[in-house]
Amino acid sequence: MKLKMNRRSVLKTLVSSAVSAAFLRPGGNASAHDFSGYETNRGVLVDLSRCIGCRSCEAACNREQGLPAPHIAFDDQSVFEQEHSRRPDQNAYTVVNKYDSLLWEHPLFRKIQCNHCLEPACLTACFVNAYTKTPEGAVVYNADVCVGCRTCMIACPFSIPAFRYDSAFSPRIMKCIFCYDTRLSKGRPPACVEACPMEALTFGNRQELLSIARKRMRREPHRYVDYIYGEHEAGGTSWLYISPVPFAKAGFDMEVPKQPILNFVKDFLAMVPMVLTIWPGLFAGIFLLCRRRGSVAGTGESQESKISGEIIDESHGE
Amino acid sequence: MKVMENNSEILSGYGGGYEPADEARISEKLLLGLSGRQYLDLIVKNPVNWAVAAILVIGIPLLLQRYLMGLSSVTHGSQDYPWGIILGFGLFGMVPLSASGFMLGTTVEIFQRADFKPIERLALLNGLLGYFFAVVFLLVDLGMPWRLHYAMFVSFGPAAVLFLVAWHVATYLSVQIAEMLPAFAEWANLPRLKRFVRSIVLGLTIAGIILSTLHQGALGALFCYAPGKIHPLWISPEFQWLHYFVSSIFGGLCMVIVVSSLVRRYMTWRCDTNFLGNLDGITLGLAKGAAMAFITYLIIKIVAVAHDEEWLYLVSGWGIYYLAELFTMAVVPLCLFAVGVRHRRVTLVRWGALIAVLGIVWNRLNTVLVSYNWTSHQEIPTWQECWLVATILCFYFIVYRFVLYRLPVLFTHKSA
Amino acid sequence: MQHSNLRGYIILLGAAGVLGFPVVFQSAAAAVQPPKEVRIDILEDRYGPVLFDHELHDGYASCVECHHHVAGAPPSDPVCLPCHKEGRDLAEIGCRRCHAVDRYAAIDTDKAGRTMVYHDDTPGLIGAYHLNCISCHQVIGTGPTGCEACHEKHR
Repeated sequence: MKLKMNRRSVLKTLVSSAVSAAFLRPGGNASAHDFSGYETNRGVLVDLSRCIGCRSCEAACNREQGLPAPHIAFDDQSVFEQEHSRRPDQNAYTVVNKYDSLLWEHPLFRKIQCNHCLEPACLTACFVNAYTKTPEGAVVYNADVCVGCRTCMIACPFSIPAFRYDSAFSPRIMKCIFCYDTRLSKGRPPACVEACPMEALTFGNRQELLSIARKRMRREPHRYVDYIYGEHEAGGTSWLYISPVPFAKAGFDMEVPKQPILNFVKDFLAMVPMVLTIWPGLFAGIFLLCRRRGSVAGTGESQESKISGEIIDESHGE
Repeated sequence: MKVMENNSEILSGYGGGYEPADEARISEKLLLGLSGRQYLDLIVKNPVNWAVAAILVIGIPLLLQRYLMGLSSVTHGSQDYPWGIILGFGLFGMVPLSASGFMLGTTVEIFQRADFKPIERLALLNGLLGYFFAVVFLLVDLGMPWRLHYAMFVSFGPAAVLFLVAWHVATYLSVQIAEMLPAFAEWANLPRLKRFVRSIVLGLTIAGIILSTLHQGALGALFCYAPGKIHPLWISPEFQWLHYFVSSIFGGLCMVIVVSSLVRRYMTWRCDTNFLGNLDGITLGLAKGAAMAFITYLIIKIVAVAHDEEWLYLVSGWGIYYLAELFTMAVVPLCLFAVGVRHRRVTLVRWGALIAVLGIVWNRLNTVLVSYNWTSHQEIPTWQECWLVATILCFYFIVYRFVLYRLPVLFTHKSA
Repeated sequence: MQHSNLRGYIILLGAAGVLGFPVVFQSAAAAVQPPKEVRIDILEDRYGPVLFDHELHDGYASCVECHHHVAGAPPSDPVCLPCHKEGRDLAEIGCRRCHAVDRYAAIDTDKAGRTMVYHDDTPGLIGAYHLNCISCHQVIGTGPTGCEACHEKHR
């Protein structure tokens, strides 16, 4: 009787777990695997054909984020000749570089800042979870938990995060946060967008920006090359770019993978649980195979060998 | 070599092969049974110590400068090269060379190869110190070293490769300390501690294998985060962790060969006949094992080049540099090992091991520094940065020697 | 009053027919007596006011170049033509009627543009000015393109 009850309860458990596995799991799993970004993901469309290199965005960013004064003033255009390929660093979240191309009548300018990836490499590489992707699309950084390992700088395919190497006691990563605290979280565009006189920067929902980009390209095909940088780069970015010249000519890295950086470490991460589960049994087994009976004294006490030891001993006995 | 001979002369003068009585006071054990004056004499008369002191005289102020004025006051502090020579050498170079602990732990405890027993403790110690100093290097390079424990206790990013590295290195460090405890217990006369550790040694060894496999591989997988920045010949996401894991196998074995050769030559007084008498045979045995790892490594390397279709890169300048590295790291040592084992020429094996050790360090530096950002520009570490590396290496040397002088590593304790 | 004037021109335009429209329009525009000078001062907190010589530009471009389809004539941009074949004559044809001073203020970014097939990429006022002015100056090779030629800095 008691046995029967037990059997029944076991059966019940089995059935219910099978049911839940069949009906509940797939739904949950599918949504986890197919997550293609937040619907509310905001972005900025950068139209290189519009930018005139006035550096208003740099100035606005500097003011908004309270960054140190630049060593070349923001209204000084000579910076383009003095420093050819600047990158965002510990003093600037965004910089504008100039590119001369024979394919376009006037000089081209390219604004560089965090692209706020849909699947940020910095976030996936961070072992203390200092990065967060907000539903608005911003990739924000928490200096309070950062250890300063700088793996995010290695991982970022756009080389955006910068480290404050010159600070002994409060170093941190410096990186564009899409003006999350002061603006984006309140539904407003970042400071650089608002400052852009040419509206080379357009703020909006990423999906709509993509359609705007395509529309501009369709309307003025002579004005744009048929490519939206950031649509697929690194698995897609919030900031998107359209350009009148091939992107490589405007300093864009075309070698950036078209899939999330995370994909490149998945092979290894998938191997981890296998090693964790297979190795103990495997090596305990090898130990027992190598052991001549009675020859090793002190080691027999550990549990693995005790349990499987009996099995081996039995097989020896046959 | 003159140097250390002096040392042994002094020590044999004061009673070489010192082995304290069980009930001797700790202070006596620490001073190797010498008086304070004699011990000081020992230090001062050894020219190696002067060389070390010369490095430290500049190195320690540099270290202070790093902590008081920030990383960029001593390093190149480059935004484009987040990991410099300190991590490239100290973490990525030291860790594979410290795989010796789990290699010989496995050989002796799992495969029951008692013939490797005489060198097991040296291998374990080499592993422990290698890891410990890799963490010291990390503490120098880390932006906020005082937050080292954050990944364990404060904020978790479990999906990150570095999370694995951090946890595995931390736990493995504990495992290695436990594995060295019997030696310490013998020295400090704590037989119950020794008995306890012996009782869990199989578990410790298997934990060591798991943790080593994973974090040696994880160090390689870290570079998979930068597939576009590192030259394709030095990165192949599918195989990177295998490259690092397999190279750590011969790395650890070769490092033990190198260290044991040095010890045999310059610390003869400390070794017992069990160690000295068996070392040549053991060295050849290790060489056989390493040779297998070399072959495996070369095959996976070729598979990686074929898989990623990188044959054309091999005929570029980068390709020649890559082949030079591959020859130094694996082909030349493999040939030396083959000839050495065949004709029982241990000296050849010892030189081969040294070349392999240098080759591995070169490989890691090539990945972190040389082939990194290969399409843009190269940055050269500052002299201060290199000096800091030398400084930490000196500490490594001092601690290594300090332990070898005292604990029953190169000799069998009378209680064993 | 401007309003009633413009109404008159619509009728005139209709009568003139398609071929004659540029001429008619030119004369019509002149007859509206547009402002000689426009003072643009929305950035007065940062710069001095920009004094736009409207009369001068009348000679360089037709009204529709800048006023698109609201100045009572068919627009010059072929993309606009299918809907605005004839052009509308609005009471208020100043730029800020369509180009918002605060580009993102009124927009709910979740819904913006979704229902509109066109007019989903309308620049804000500042953007409209600069895009129009600088692009044209670059093309015709005259007129200011730098910042301080128009924007006098406050001291």
